Amino acid sequence: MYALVALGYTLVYGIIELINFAHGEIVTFGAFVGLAVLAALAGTPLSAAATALPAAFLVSMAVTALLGVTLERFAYRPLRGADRLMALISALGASIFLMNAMMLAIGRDSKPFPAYLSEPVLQRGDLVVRQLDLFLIGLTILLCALLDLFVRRTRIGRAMRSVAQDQEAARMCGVSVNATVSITFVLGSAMGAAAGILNGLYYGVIRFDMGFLLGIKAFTAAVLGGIGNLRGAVVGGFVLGISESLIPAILAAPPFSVPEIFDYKDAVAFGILILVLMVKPSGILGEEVPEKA
Amino acid sequence: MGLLDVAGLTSGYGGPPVLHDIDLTVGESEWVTLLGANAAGKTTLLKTLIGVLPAASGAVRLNGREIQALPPEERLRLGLAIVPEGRRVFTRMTVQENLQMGAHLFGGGRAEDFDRVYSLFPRMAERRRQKAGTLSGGEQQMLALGRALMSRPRLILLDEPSMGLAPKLVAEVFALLRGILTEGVSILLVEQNAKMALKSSARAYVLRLGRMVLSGSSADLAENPEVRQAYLGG
Ligand SMILES: Nc1ncnc2c1ncn2[C@@H]1O[C@H](COP(=O)(O)OP(=O)(O)O)[C@@H](O)[C@H]1O
Ligand SMILES: [Mg+2]
Repeated sequence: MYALVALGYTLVYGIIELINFAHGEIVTFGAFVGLAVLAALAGTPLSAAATALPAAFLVSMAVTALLGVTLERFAYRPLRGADRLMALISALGASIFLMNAMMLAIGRDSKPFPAYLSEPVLQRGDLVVRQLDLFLIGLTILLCALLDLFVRRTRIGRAMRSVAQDQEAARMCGVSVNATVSITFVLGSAMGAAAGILNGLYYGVIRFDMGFLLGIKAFTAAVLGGIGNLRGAVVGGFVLGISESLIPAILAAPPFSVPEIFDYKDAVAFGILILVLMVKPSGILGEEVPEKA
Repeated sequence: MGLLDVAGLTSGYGGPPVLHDIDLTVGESEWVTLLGANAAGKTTLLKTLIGVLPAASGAVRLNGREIQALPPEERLRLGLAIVPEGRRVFTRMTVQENLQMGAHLFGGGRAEDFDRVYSLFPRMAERRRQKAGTLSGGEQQMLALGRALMSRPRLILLDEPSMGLAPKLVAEVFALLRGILTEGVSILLVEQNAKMALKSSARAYVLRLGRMVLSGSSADLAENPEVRQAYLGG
């Protein structure tokens, strides 16, 4: 899940060197669109998981992609070529704007997310693996693999990489930077929407500000994997997710026996972020790229 | 009327113009050389012609069609291509992918165009799966040239293709350009290596501080005392 969100950050950063702070809100938006689709289908013959979930994912990914493109068109494109700090501030502003817009539209309370695929497929003592867990991992891997194939093997993917490497040389080959950046936002936002729905399914509730923490953590995953590096984002996402569940479990057991009232799961993510920035800012899979000439 | 006609072109980077009132013509199947000291504005002119820099004023016609307001992709479709200064190959892509980028607007490359480029540059064929960043400077230059040829240009703009190359490789580049010329492609070459450039081209221009100060047949310019002193080592 972190992996999917992290891909959104890393895609955009890789192409236009912008940290899209609003990406977390894109994820929230995707979750709510998914919820709306599921709610609309509830009670109809299409409410079974096999029909409702694909519909929710497809509609949400498409609508959220549209929001991503709109965001880029109005909040980022006018500032392209301007000082990088300006675009960053615009991204922050867009994030706050979207979060508040969603609060006004949806309200401040958590909304229950319908349960799907909750039957256990494996049960051994405390360990329960639900269908949902497999679906989550499976879909994450599938989407990451599809994106990787797209970027590596298609003509448009090649254009994206060319813009990431040398924008002017890409233009000299006839690549339209605007179109390429739009496609990048489509892909990143669609991935984010999928992550938003998975998040809702997993925790059973969603809220207007859920994207904030999720966004920061996914950003950590992207940095961990080497920002701008797609495979790195996936690796970083999985490493972060696993650390978050393992480290508190280890600390709660002897010899540490930290009492459970300390909810430091989130601290793990930020600890990792700080550690990576100090030790290897280029990330696990990041190359030591010299500053662009 | 030539293939490329530039009249009264003024251009720059947003501040005061770098190029003032440039006139220039390149004919069908003609090789034209552009000389000029460092910072004269040669690269600026080529970037304006390919369209990555907007012109402030003036007219640029390609084959009689006004292209000044068109984006680079339209200009490529109409038959312009560039070998940029410093090669600018995509170092993290393979040789093959770089050639595909050259044909980006044409579906990523036609088989016969790959065959043609690989037969012109056999070393590229051997290295087609290798990252362009692992190539030597000379090989990268050949790759940049191959990339430009992938779009089947009618006029190819070259920005100091011999820069940093050993003399043997420079000779190779010039031999290749002569071959391209005989296939009917026009050439606008920016070169520090004035002697070879003037020997190979039909006509030449001299740019100084953003203005065209001399033009004529390459043979005449090679005899011009000013040119001899500035670009041919006296
Ligand atoms: N990206 C740029 N931004 C602003 N000025 C530039 C830029 N590139 C070049 N210049 C200026 O334009 C002038 C011409 O440069 P250029 O066209 O690169 O010359 P040449 O290729 O003949 O050496 C120089 O004075 C240079 O400082
Ligand atoms: Mg130059």
